Amino acid sequence: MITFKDVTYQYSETTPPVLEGLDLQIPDGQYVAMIGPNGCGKTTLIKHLNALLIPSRGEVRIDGLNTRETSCHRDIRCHVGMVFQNPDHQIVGMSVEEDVAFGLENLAVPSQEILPLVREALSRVGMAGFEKRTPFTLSGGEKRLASIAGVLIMNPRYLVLDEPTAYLDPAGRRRILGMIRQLHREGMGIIHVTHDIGEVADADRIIVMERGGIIMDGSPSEVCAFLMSRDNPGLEAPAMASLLAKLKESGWDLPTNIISMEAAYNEIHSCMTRLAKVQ
Amino acid sequence: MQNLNFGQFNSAFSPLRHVDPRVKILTVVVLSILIFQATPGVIVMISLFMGLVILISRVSMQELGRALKPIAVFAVLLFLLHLFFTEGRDIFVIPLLPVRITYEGLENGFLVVWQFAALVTAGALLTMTTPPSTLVAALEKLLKPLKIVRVPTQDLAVMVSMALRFVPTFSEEYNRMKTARLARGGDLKGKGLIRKVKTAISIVVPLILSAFRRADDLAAAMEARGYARGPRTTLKELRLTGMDFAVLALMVSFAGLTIVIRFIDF
Repeated sequence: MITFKDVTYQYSETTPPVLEGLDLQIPDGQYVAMIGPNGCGKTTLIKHLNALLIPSRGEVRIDGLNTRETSCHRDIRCHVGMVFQNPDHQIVGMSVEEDVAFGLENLAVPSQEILPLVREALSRVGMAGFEKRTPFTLSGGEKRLASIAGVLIMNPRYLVLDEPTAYLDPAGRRRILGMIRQLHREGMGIIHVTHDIGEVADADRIIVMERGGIIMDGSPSEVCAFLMSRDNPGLEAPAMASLLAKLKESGWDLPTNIISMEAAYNEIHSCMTRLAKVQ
Repeated sequence: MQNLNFGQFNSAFSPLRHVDPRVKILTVVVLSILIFQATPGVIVMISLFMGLVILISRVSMQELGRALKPIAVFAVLLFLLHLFFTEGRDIFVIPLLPVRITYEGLENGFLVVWQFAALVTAGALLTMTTPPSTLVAALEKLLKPLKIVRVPTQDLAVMVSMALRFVPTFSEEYNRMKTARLARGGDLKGKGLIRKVKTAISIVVPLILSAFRRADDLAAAMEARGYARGPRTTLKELRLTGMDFAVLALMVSFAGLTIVIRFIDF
């Protein structure tokens, strides 16, 4: 369980807080999506999950471990794996296997045990055979998968991903999203930061942030209904929900709290079937 | 900046790749000492030895030439300095100028250029036949005794490895900036010294700023993956093999032989 209790964070005393009085609980194994406009504090929040930032006020606990206690940091970083937005900025090794091994080297795992674990982590993300490749020559999607492998090798309970599909082509995007769903099915807690609500339609919960606070926290359909009900500067209502709203305006009897294309198709299909029966 | 592959590891099939990097570093150190103490007899011996190593290493002369190219200007400069400003027996006196070419100047010039080229070749052979990660691991092991005087050898090794990791990043960033400039009609081959300096500054300053930003991100990524002061292990553990001991024995014998030759030369 991840717990935020009245967390406020300021980068310096002269600047306004980026997070203010934030309370949050994330149970084990939950798939949580986080959306919000640029500068709303999403990245600052997730950096607290890994003890990269310590709250100016309040406390963050990861499975009971307080991030304020330096002695817990190594354990916290084993519990929470973090994949940053730009994979190029987190490559530490000159080969894929060296990069993936970095976490275990830091945990002082005996050398002879590292290589089999590296191979296992790479095959888990579908990158077996890439061990000797230079990370800089990989495609965007492959780099991202290699960074996920570098985190998975530490066997975390929660995986934090900051805009994991940014800069990726559709194939790369599908690959990464498939991988995230797979890890969630295996029981891993996922915290997925994104601008595109469409890609987190199957999350257990979506948190909407604005100006350093949480303005909505609910199921995808609840969040969708919330976004459709107000003007959201910096946030876009789901494309499918907007389409359904337009059809509704034209007289179709459709719900407007739908995010995924599949669910939208089903709704339109059943509406058309109903209409055909009436005629 | 495009020559950033200077001396970089690119000989995956070189037999020297299998020699322990600690042995290779020690060999380069010993060779460097011998190079600086060289007498004419020793010069011939070291040149033959290095020629043999180049043959065994299977590093192509073209690659080696690329590594030596950046130092050619310095080598010529060094040669001319010694040629013109060494006192001794005159070969040629330039009229009206306080410059004279002497036998000693010519000899010293050749010696210094040879020393310079031999040192760079030895260094290039080391980096070309050793993957950067194992080179860093070797440095860490060799510096280990300094731990007694509280030198953070592990952190030093990680620093070196991060510096090496940044080489392709810088190269890529530089090319991106250059392309962005060209795309907006910028001229990168401006004539005149002032214009060249201005162009260089306009690329170097944003390059440095971006390096700072990237260093921040990288530090956070390293910390997030558990990097901290404390015991660490490495993926590849270095172990000396029979071949390494053979190379060490060869090196010691060669050093001994050069010392004998040196005394004979005297």
